[in-house]
Amino acid sequence: MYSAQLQSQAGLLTTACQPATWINEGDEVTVGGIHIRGAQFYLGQHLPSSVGGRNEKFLVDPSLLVAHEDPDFEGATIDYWPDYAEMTPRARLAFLLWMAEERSRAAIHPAYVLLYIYGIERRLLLDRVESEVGGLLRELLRIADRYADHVSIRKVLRGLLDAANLVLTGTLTEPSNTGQTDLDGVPLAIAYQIGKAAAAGRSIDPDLVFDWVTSDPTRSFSYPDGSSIPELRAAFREHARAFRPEGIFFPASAAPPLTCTYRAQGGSFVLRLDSMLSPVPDLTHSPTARMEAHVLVRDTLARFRSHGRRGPGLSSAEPSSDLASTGSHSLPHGKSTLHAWAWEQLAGDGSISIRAALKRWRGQQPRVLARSEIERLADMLAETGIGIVPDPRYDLEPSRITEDALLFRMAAPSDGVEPASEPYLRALLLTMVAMSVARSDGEISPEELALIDKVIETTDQLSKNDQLRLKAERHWMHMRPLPLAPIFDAIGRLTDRQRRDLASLVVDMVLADGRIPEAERAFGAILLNHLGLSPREISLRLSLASAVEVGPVVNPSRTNAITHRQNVGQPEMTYPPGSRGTGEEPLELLRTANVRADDHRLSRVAITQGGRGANNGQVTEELDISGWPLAQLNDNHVELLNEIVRQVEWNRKALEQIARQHRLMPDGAIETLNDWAHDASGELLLEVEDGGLVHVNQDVIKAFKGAA
Amino acid sequence: MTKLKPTERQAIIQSLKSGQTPRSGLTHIQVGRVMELEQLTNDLATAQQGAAAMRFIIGDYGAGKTFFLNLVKLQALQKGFVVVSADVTNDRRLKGSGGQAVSLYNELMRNLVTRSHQEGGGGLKSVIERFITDAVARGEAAEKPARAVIRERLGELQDLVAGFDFADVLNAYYEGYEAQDEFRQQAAIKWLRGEFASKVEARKALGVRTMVDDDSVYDYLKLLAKFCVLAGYKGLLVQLDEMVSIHQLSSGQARQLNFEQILRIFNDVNQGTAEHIVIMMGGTPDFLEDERRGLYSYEPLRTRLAPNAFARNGLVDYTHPVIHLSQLTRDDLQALLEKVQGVFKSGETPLIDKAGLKGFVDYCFRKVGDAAFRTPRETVKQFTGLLAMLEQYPGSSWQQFLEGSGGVVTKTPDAASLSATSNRATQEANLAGLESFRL
Repeated sequence: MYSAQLQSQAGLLTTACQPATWINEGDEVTVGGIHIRGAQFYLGQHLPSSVGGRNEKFLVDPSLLVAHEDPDFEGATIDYWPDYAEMTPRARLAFLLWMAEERSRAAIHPAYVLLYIYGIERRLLLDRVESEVGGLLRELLRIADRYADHVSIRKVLRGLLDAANLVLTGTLTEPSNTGQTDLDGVPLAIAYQIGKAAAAGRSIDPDLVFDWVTSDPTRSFSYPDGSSIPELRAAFREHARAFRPEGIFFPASAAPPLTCTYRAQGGSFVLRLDSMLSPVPDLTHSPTARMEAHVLVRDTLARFRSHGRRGPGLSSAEPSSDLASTGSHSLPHGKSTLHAWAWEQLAGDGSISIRAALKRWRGQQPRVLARSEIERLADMLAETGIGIVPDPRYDLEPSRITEDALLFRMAAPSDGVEPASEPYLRALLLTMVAMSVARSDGEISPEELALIDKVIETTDQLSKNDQLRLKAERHWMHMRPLPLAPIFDAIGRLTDRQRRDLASLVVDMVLADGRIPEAERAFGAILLNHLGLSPREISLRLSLASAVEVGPVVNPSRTNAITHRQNVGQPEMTYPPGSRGTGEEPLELLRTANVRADDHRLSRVAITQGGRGANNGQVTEELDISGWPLAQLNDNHVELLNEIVRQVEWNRKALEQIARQHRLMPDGAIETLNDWAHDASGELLLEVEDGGLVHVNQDVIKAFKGAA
Repeated sequence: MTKLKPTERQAIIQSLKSGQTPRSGLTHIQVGRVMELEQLTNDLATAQQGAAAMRFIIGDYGAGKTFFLNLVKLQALQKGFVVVSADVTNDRRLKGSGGQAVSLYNELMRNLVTRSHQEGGGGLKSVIERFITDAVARGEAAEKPARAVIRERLGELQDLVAGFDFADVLNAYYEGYEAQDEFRQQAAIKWLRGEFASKVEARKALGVRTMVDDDSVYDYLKLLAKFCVLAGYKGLLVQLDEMVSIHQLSSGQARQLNFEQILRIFNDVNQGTAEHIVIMMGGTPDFLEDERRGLYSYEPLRTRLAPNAFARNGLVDYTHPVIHLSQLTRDDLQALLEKVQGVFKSGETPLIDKAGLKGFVDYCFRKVGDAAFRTPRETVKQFTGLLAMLEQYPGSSWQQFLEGSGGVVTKTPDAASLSATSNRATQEANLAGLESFRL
C-alpha cells in the first residue's frame, strides 16, 4: 500500500489512490520525494488501457521505486516506447524532475515528453472533462512551443491537436504545416480543407496544395540547393497565380469520401471521428487530383531551379517578407525575434536548442546543423551582447556539432565573434584539464570550481570576453560529457615548459579541495603520465604534494607558456596537516607510504571515470614484446598490444582512445587480441568487467615473457 | 582445470544454494553427461565445417538441462563460436503474431556472447567491430575504401533475407564510428538487435527497408551465423531453454505455429540449407512427448523425433536429435557432491568426509519421494544447505543433522563463519530450507 499526498486548492488531503487520479494543473503532488506542481498526469496504480487491459504506460505509480540521484535525462536506460512502470528508477527520477521543472528542460530525452503527452491525450480525447480542456490545450501548446525543434514531438502534437480540434469544434480549420514530408500520410487537416473547398466548388488555396504535395509520403522531390520551404511555397504561389489565374480546381466526383480514424499516439485507444466531419471528398486519395497537384509543384521546382528566386514567373520571394504573410504557418522570426528570444532564455538557465534558435532567426529549422550556420548564429547573437558555447571556432579542435548550447552574457555587444586567440586556446586547455580532473571523482567541489575560475581570471592576455566565454565553457563542461581526446591531442603539441606548468595544475586540482579521492589521484596520474612524467615521479609528486602544504603552486607567468597563478590570499588546505617539505625526503616518503596505505579502501569505480585507467596509479614495468608470437596479428594490433600490456587495468574510454589511434575499434580489437592470446597460451589476455574496466591478464604476459 | 577464483567460488555457491545453474565455473562441478557432451562437441565441429545441427535436450525439472546447455555454451565459446541464448516464455517464442518472435530475437541478441565478452551484453558490438576492423585492414592493404570492402565481404550474405540491408547497416556503423557519431552506431546496433519499433523508424535512422519481424527471426539467425563466420568466428550456437512454455500455450493455434516453425528449422538444418549453426532447445518430457500439446501432437515432428526403436535395454542413441538427460547414478551423485564440497571449502579440510558423502547419498535415496529429490538441483541445494550448517556450527557433525540421533544442535553459530557466508538473507533462506534437518 502506498499513499500520495495530493494538495489541491481545497487544501491538503491524503488519498490512497488505488484507482488512478487525474492531477490537474492546479494540483500539487509529491511523488518519490519530488514535489510536482502544474503538471497534468494520471497518478495511481490502476488505469487500464482501453485496448489490451494493461495499465496505461503513462500512469505514474507512486508505489514504484524512484532513484535519489543521477537522473537519466539522456534516456540511456529507457525504451523507445517508455512505460513508467517498466522504467528504471533513474529514468523515473528524470521523468518526475522534468515534470517538476515545469516541463521545459531542453536537454531531455523526447520519450519522456511523449510519455507525458500521451497522458494528456487520453484525458483530452477519451476521458474528456469539459472544464479541463482549456488547461490541457494550453499545456500542449506550451510544450509544442518549447520543443518545436523536435520532429517526433512535433508530429505527435500535430496529430493530437488536429484530432482535438475536430473533437472539440467539429471542424478542422488550422492545418498545421511542417513543410516536411510526413511519413504517416497527408495531415488530416489539410485533406479536410482541400475536400471542403472542392465540395463547395471553390478554388483551392495554393498553400494548401503545396502543403499537401510536400507532405505526401508517396512522392519525393529533390529540392533546389539553398532553397527553403517558405521560399518554395512563395514560388509555388506565384507559379499558380501565373499558370492558374482562375484558381486551382480539382474534380471531386471520383474521389472517395474522407474518413478519419484517430489512433492514439500513445497506442491505448482508437477513435472513429468520421461522424464529426461533414462529408467531404478525399482528394488526397484521388489519383487524378494527386497527379495534377504534383505536376504543379514539380513545375515550380523546375522553374525555381532554372531561374533562381528572381527568375521569370517568380517574384522576389524573400523569405522574411514572404513569411510575414503565412500567418499561422510559421513562427515570427528574424534578427530582432532571435535577440528577444535569446535574452529571454538568458534570463533562465541559458541552455538552448540550436535548432530552436535558428528557427527564431530563419523562420524554419534546418534539417542538418551546419557549422557555418552556427557560426553565423553566434555572430548574430554577438550583436546583442550574447555569446554562445560551444562555438566551433573556439574549440581545441573542430568538435562535433551539438543540438544544445549555452548562452552567456558578453562584456559588450560586438559586430561578430572575435577569432580565438592563442592565449584563449591555452587557457581553454587549462580549463578542460582542470575540469576533467575535478570531475573524475564524480563531483566537482566549490573549491575546485573556485580554483578553475581563478585560473581563468589570472591567465595572461585574455580579454574580458575571453574570460566570460571560458567561464561559460566551464559551466558547459559541468553539464556535458567532456571529450578527452582533444585534451590528449593538445597535450601532445605542448612544449616541455608548458607540460611542466600543466603538470603543476593537475597536481593542484587533485589537491584543490583537500580531499584526495582515488579517482582524482588515478586520473591525475594518467594525465601526468601523458605529460611525460615517469611513474616514479608521478607517484612522488602526487603523494609528496599531498603530504605537505596543500594548495595551488605559484608559477611565474610567462608569455607563450601555459601558466596559472594562485590566489595569494587563499586559505591553506588542511589535508593532511603538515609543513612544507624541507628536503627531509625520508620523512616525506614515510608519509607518502601512509597516505598510500589509506588509499586501499578507495573504489575502482572511480578510476573508470578518468581517462587512461591505471593500476591504481601505477604502471607495469617496461615490456619488450618483440619476442612474442605475433605472427597472427597485423601491425595495428601489435602496436595496440604494445601499449596495452604496459598497464594492469584500463578503463573503457582510455582503451577506446588508444584503439582509435591505431585505427582499430575497441571491441573488435579486444576480440582479436583475446583470440590470439587464447590460441597462443590457452587464456584470454583481456578480461572485460561489467563496469567497463579491462584487466590485462598477467598470467598470459608471464607466459609470453617466459616463452620469449 | 583452471584454478577457482574467489569471486567465481562465491558465485557458484550462491547459485547452487538457490538451486540455479552458475554462470561460470561449471567445470568445477561437472560430472557425468560425457557422451552427451561429446555428441554436442561433434555438432559444433560439424557446424565449424559449414553444416548445421539441431538438438532437443529433454529432462525433468532439475535434471540439469540448463546446466548442460551452459556446459555446451562454454565448450562452444572455447572453440570460438558465438553463442546466443534465451528462455522461451509466453511473450517470447519462435513464432507469434504480436511481436513475440521479435522479442525472442531481442533477447537472443542481448544475450549474445563471445569468448571475450561473456558478461555484460556487449557481444554483438564485438562481433561487428571485429568484422569491420578486419575489413578496414583489408581495405588499407588493397587501397580500397573500407565501405567497399565491407560490401564485398558481405556479398555472400546477399542471397539471404535482409542480406543487402545487413551490409548497409554495417556500413552505417562504420561511418558512425568514423564520424564519432554514437547515435548512428547505436541505430545500427538497434537494427541488428531488432529493436526498432517499425520499418519507418529503421528507414529514417539507417535508410534500410527491412527489419526483423515475427516471420523472419530464423532467417536473421541464419544470416547472423554466416556473418559470424565472416567475422572470424567458427559459427553460431543458438540455445533456447524452457521450451516447455510452448507446451503451456493455451492457444492451440499458437502452439501449432510454433511447431511449424520448429519443423521448418529442423528441416532446414537437416537438409543442409542452414550453415555454421547449431540449435539447441531445452525442455521437459511434456514438451516433447505430450500427444495433445507437445511436439508429438504435431505429426510431422512426432515422426521425425520418435525414438530409435533399437535403442533399448539401457542403450542410448546419442546421435538422435533428442537427448534425454537421465537421472544421475549413485556414483555420479557422490562425485558431484564431492566437487561441490571442493568448491565450498577449497583447499581446506573437507566438512564432510567420504563416509559422510555416502551417508548423504543414502539419505537422499531413503527419503520419501526420492525420485524427485535425486535431481541434481535438489540434491545440490540440500547439500549446500548442510554444508552451510556445518560451517556455521563448527562443533556439529553431519550425523547430527542426518541421522537424528545427536540431539538438538544448540551451539551458538561461529561468528567468523557467519560473516564469511554472504548475507543475512541468504542465511535465513538456508536455515529455512533446512528445517527438515533439525532434530
